[in-house]
Amino acid sequence: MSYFIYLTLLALAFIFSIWSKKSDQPLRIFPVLLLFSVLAEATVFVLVFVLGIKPQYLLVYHLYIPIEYTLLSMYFARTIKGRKTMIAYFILLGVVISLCVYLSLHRGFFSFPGMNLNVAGVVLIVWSVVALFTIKPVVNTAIYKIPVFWISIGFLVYYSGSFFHNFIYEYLKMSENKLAESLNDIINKGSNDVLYICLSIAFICSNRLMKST
Amino acid sequence: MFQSPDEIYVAAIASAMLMLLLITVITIAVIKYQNRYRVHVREIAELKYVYDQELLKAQLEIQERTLHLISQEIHDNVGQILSLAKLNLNTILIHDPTPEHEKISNTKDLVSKAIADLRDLSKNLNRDYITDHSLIQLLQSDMEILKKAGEFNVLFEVIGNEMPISPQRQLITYRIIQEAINNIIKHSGGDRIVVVMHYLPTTLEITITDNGVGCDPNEIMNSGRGAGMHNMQNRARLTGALFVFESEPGRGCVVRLRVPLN
Repeated sequence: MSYFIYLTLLALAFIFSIWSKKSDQPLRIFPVLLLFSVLAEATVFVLVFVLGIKPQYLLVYHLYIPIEYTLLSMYFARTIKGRKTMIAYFILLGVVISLCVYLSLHRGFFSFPGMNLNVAGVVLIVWSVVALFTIKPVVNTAIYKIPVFWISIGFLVYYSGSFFHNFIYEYLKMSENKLAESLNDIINKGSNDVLYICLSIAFICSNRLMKST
Repeated sequence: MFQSPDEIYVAAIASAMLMLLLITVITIAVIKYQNRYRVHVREIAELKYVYDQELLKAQLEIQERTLHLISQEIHDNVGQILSLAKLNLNTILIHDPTPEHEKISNTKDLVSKAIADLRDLSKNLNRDYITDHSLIQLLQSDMEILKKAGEFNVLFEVIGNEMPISPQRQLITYRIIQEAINNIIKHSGGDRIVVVMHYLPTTLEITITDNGVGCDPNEIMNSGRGAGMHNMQNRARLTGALFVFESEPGRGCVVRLRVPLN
């Protein structure tokens, strides 16, 4: 049930990202990012529920994480702006991608990419906090009406919420599979739901901001 | 994992701490945004103020140039023609007291008056003339002209020692006083004008009072008839002066101007 709620929220966020008028240039990254998310989830769905291939589906996430990190950090770098930000973006991009590739090779492409998620997650938490603290004021607009506020909060909640879960999920699955799945439902899918709700709100805000300016 | 209740407590405390941290981060971000927003709004207001001031300066500059040009035209062209006409009239030799002689004599008087009036008008419009004379001299001259016209009982008083005022500020202050006196002449319906200049250590207070029919200042400002009033206010704002207009129906009007001297 929670899986379908998660898929519905993802699909909704994707539709909103296409439908919304982009109040700023960097927001145009999101339809592409969410398209990758939808494709990844669709592939996982086919592999797991149609073909019944269980561990191999994790390969999709090993490929998806670097793409997601690249697009998201690009969004934050373009939102925060500045030469130093762009330098930081390129350096961190190199570091995170290298680490993800190393971890995938080291731990195997069919293992749960918890470490990969955490490596990308920690850097994205930093990007989110910086973006949150450097939101440029818009006249007659409260902070909660600005898209970057919801996007930052969404990723902040998602990556910080799933941080400990990502560490323990694989080990827990080996010893207590039921508990691992139930935790995954509550923590991972829960924080994912929050993320996609936040993204949808951000796109609606973007539309309103566009109309009011 | 979670083999004992302690571990569950630790996980619960860790989650609570995490949520607390998130809430703290969001709260700080919101507060910081509010501060930046306030600064941003203030900056926009300051920019708008500077822009308005510049616009007003440009408008007044154009107005002054136009007035200066008109003044020069009156002095150099119309004034010269009238002087020539008067000269021609003086050359006509008629000794007998005929009706033509009387007409020519009257015409000479009229031309002389026109020349004098135009000279006064030219002075009033001329920026250089205004900045070359002190505000007291200018107002004394204007009050004399008003007295001569005979329609108003004029009282001009200066309290304190005259202090210097920058030429630009003097020009604008003088234009405000001109506008106020013009309004009295056109709309007051009274017969008395009192102008008081009070020199204080850092400011010059000017009060222009009449005994006319008065009006409701709010109604004037809201009815769209207060263009002159807006002009005076804008000019005052440009010099950093305080402009106050007080009136009540049937009780005349008072214009108060407080001009900074430095």
